[in-house]
Amino acid sequence: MNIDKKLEALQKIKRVEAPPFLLTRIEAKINSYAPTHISPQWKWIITASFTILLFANAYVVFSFNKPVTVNNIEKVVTSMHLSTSNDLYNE
Amino acid sequence: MQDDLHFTTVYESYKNLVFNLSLHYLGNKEDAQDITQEVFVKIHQHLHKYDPTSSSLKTWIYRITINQNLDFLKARRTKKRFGLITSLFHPDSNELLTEVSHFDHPGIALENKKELEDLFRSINCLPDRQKTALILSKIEDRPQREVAEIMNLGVKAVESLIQRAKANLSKILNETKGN
Repeated sequence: MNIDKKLEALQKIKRVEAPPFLLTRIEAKINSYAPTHISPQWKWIITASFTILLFANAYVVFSFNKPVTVNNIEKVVTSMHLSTSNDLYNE
Repeated sequence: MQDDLHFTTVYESYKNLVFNLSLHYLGNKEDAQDITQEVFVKIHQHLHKYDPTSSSLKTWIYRITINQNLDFLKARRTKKRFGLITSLFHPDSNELLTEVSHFDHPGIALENKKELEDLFRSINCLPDRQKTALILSKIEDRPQREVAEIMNLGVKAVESLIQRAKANLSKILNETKGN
């Protein structure tokens, strides 16, 4: 088979025009992809809020989770008159 | 505004190139329209990144179109394969669960349709690079130097790709003739 002769048939293909409605469809698709715009002012407000929240959390965690010292426990025991004995019937 | 104006100019200059090249790859008007749409959306998204020092705008658009078409064909092949597997699990149906687009090339006259449909089917069996080299040089009528630039290859490499494409095509056509 002469492949070059066979491929000559490809010359019979005519160039065609792209459909006229394509541009409208493309523009619609481009607009649907367009990202929603956030103003720089809002970006700053969101960043500041998150930073404040983060610092507030850190403050709460570090200030209220201090280790309870033995001294503090003793103070609580004496002030509330709690029994320190394991004997159930010592009273 | 300036960007939109620039994009419209690019669209008007290259819409036929993209549409016709997609038709040569896919052989179906609707599929070619979808790909043309995808290509121009991509062009719009990346036009600001285009570097005129690395290649001409035409070459850049050719590359995007070729990649988009090859991706589409790859996805269609996977879908077809998946359809074959799924049909095994649906023995009640004799049909494949995926549809393959029929040949509908508006640039081909009715009297040549059968001959060219067979030829296109055989071209579609070629490996991607051979197919691209053949389409660009034999259908798009681009000189080998330009094909080499589009495909990012040397002229010799393109020449060799076309020779291999012809040899493979001859083999495929003989096989289909024998069946």
